Amino acid sequence: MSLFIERMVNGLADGAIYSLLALALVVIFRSTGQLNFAQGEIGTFGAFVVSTLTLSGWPVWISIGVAMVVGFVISAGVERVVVRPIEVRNPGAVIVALIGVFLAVNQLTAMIWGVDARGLPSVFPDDADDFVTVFGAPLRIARLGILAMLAVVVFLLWLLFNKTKVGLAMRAVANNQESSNLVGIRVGGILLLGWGLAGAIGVLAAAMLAPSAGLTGTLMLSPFLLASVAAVLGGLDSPLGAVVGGLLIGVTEAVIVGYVDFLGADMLFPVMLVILLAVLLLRPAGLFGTERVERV
Amino acid sequence: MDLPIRVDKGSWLHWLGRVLLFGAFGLFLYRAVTEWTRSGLGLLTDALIIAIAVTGLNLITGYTGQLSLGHAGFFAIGAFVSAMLVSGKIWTPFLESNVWTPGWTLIAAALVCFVVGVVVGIPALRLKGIYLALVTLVFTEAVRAFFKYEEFAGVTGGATGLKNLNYLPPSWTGLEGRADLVTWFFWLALVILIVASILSAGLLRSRIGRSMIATRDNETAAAVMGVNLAKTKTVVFGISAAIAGVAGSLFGLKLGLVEADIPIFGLFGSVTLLVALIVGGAAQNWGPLIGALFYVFVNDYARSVGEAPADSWLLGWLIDGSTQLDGLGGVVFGVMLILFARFVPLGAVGTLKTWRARLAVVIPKISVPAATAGEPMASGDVSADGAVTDGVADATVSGAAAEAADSDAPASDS
Amino acid sequence: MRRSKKLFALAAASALVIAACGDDDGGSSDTTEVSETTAAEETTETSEADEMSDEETTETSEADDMSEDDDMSEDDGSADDEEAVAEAASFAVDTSVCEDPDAATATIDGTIKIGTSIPLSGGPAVLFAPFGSGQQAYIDYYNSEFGGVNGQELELIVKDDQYTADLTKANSDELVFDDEVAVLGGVIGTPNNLAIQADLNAQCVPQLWASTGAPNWGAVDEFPWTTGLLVAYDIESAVWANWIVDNLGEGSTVGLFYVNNEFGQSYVNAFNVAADELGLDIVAEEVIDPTDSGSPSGQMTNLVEANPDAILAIPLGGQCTAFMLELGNAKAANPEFDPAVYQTATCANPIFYGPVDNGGADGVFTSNNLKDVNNPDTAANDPGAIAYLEAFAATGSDADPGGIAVAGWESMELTVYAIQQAADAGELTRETIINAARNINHVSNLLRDGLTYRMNGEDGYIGEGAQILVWSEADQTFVEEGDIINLEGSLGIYSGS
Repeated sequence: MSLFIERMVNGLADGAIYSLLALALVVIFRSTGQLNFAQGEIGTFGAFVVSTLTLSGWPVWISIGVAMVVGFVISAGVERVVVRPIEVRNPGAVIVALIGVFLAVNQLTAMIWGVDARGLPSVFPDDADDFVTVFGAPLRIARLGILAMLAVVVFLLWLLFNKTKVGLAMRAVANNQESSNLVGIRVGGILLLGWGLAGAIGVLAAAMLAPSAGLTGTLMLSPFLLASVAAVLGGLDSPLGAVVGGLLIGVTEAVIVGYVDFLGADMLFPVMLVILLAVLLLRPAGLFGTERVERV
Repeated sequence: MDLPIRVDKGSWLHWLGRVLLFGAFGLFLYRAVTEWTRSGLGLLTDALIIAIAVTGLNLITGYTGQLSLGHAGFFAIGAFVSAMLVSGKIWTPFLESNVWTPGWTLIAAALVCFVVGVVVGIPALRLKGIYLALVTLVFTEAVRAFFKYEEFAGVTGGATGLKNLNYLPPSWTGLEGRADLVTWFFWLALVILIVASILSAGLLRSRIGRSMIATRDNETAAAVMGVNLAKTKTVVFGISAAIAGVAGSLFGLKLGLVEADIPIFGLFGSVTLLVALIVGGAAQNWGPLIGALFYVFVNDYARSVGEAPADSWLLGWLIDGSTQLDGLGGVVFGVMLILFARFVPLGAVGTLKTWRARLAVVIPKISVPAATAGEPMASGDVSADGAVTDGVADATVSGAAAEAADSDAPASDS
Repeated sequence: MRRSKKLFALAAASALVIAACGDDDGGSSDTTEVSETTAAEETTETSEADEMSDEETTETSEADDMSEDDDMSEDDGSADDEEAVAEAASFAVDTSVCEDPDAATATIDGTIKIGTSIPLSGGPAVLFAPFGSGQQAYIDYYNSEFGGVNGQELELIVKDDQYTADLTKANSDELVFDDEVAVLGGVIGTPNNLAIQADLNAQCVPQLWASTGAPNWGAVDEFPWTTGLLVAYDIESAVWANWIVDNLGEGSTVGLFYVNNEFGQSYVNAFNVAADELGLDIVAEEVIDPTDSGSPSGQMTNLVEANPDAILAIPLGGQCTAFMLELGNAKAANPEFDPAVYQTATCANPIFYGPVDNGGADGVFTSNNLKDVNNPDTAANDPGAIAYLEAFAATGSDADPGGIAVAGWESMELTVYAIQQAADAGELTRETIINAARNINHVSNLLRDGLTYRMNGEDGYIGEGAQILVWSEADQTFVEEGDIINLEGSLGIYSGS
């Protein structure tokens, strides 16, 4: 039992990282209908900003806040400078540009901060003995902290989308850009806000992951891939779906590693393919996604 | 003379245009074979192999509108099938040592990939856009994991892969052993690319080709008009996968080894193929080749900037001596992709065509529309590329649709 | 497999002896070799006094060895018994099978071009980039310090392959046919080197010091033009298996944690053979995907569950840090879990151990055959390390000098050494360079005392010894554990898997 709890909580904590990143992807997908390939790399870039700031003596919390602002600006900048001008000409070409941004940011990180691994302090107590024992299972406070952080982000996003005027405008733009424009919503500004928010959340995800994984330029490569799977699994336009999808993948990973002898962590993708097909063949828009009715 | 010049399809002027285009391409290849060193020819061969795979991808993503990130998976399957057969890992009747002649494994790779492609095409019946892209992407990574799976290592080589695949030129070619290996693969890749292009063009002119374009432009409308979506999608997925598989098989044989961790067999490969497709121009018959050439040679240039930044005109004025900037090559390539998407959003071929259209337009021969013509259904989209229709009752094809399909086919290019 | 068994018979027999005496040769070598070893060791000792003059001493003394060998192979039969043994072992390449035999025997005039293909960019591959700075550092150092090889300047041409085997092949063709390099040196990666091996051997271009520890580089007969650089993965696995038996006893339980790729699999295969021979019981096998950048918490839970006496960990890059962080957490939460952990030499680098501040890195074993230039004592007093650190700083690279750059430096030191030997022996051609490399007998500036780089016709492996190290979290440095282990000559040649 204790072993089961430990595995599940660890799996959920891993999943929370995917959830955060998937949330960022969903926020962008809702506003622009694009999969932001550069999402993970902007996060890694932000984590290195956190590293630089903490090394020069800043408290971790504040460093993460500043880095999130940096992520916001970069991501919004990508929307304004790269995505928007291309989208008006050919939406199909945006994916190439985003892959370009992915590559450029990833390699720029290496150019600026070098390629050596570094540690990143956690915002939570993260010494070796910082764990609580629940039913005999040692649960690390830092991991529980990541889960709590996910809950906070979800709550704040819910507030934003449902209780504020800006949030209403964001939902309107997600639904129909042209109509939103007609009722006087500044669509451009809303798009910038959406991308910026996603950038900030991505940085937060990276800053949560790096303390336990070590910080290198490759930090977000595999989490990004799993986060996009999570977003699709939950439904690309559903924040709730992103959270559930991410946690589901984390738990799946934990189950494979812990309980299926003939499969290792390396066989996650074949298993994910089966789960993904099972879910999507029943619900083509993901667990919580809404199917769009097309007009002929 | 007023621009644009109006050129009748099939007229001497139209033929002149074609001859000039193919002639220029032929001349380019001739110079490459006779004057380039082995290294340049090797890169060109890599580009041709990628172009073959993109030709496959173009069928399903460009013409049928199904975004696939699974083609690196087919590429990998093709490579591994060839490698396993060449190394005698799979029991084969009539062959004592189970060791296949490499040439025949290309066909085996195509067949296996066709079957897998049809199966992968089934989810595509329900899924669209990014959903399909992500499922096929997971498929790619699953294929990679499968080939590394320890339990099958006896057949697939597992994580260490399969090595020492030698496909030396056969004696009838007049090429000699390893020294002419690059030349041999160049011709092989070129011939296969031409065959794949002709196949693809033929497919597009067939009934299935018209169904493909109808499916891409408006699935619901296509279904209403009698297009069998299930058959169209699965068959095209299969053919497209088979072509990508042959490309992968060539890739593995040229490299001489297959290993599931080689980047092109995973996410990176799928992204490479998609980028090459869009950069060249989706649903353009010359798109795959131009896109692959762009990808290989621009990437080569970007890396060369990173190798010696001080020697490049781009950055030379900023950097001195033998300073090495880790990652610079990647930044340069990334920025180039962004700039390309920004300023050539229709892809190289698409943009060239719009330029050409300012100089000359090809006027298709007017054929009498069939009685059951579907023009009214074409919902205002009357561009030559977009007009979509198929016979409603008995699937007789309207003249307009024939031309619509035709304008996507190679021969109409001038 | 056969080869590996032979190795373990040898390793098991010699490890104890070696550990006791700190000297080697396993009884297999003749008097000539023994005297050479002594000479080399003397040189190493004096080298601490004066580095520059000594460098030259080493070179000239060994240049003599080389020319002797050449003479012998020419007048067959006239040698006495002692020399006959040495002659049998010495290696000479056959250029008649080359694509262009004349190119292989043509004198190399003017600037000597050395080509290399390594990752300088591209996703995770960029992590290898400082290797190139290390290579450049040595070439710059040798040119400025010695004016090149007998007055011929050295030029390094670096090509970026993004760790992609097909690009390595393109780069290799470019280097050989466009840049017309004399040799390729220090190409990184097993698949990358395999992809160019057959071509370069047919072209008769030396493919020197392939920067991987895979067993393939010892194929003296099949691929004589290819030599490896790193300590063979087989040796490392054997060293750790022997350490477990000696310190924890026969029948000890072992857990494996490895990255699921060619690199990890090579180690595991070798270790399985060793465990079989020595009676170790493998109780857990946990894998991690090479691209996985998360923390291996699930795998660690399984290892804790199996609670082995020892662990062999084979992670890659940032995974080294993540593994140790997780290890620290697991140890704190499970007091009964305290295995002896060995992490492979590719992680043997303070940049991976330094960030681990929760006790997970403390006491983790690893090994290295090169000096630890980040050790303050070595950095301050060892002439080889001082020369390296100065030269590396001059490249302007901001990478950690103790990182992968050291291996880059080493690949060029050995490349240049082979060229220098060939030039000193008379004619500088691709043929004489590969013969010099295949018959190398050299102690480099950064090689640990007590080891010698040695190969010949019956020994296709260069790195066959290492020092076991333990990380000390308090001092933030590696501490030597026991004496150096030298299994020189034990691997023989590669005969295919």
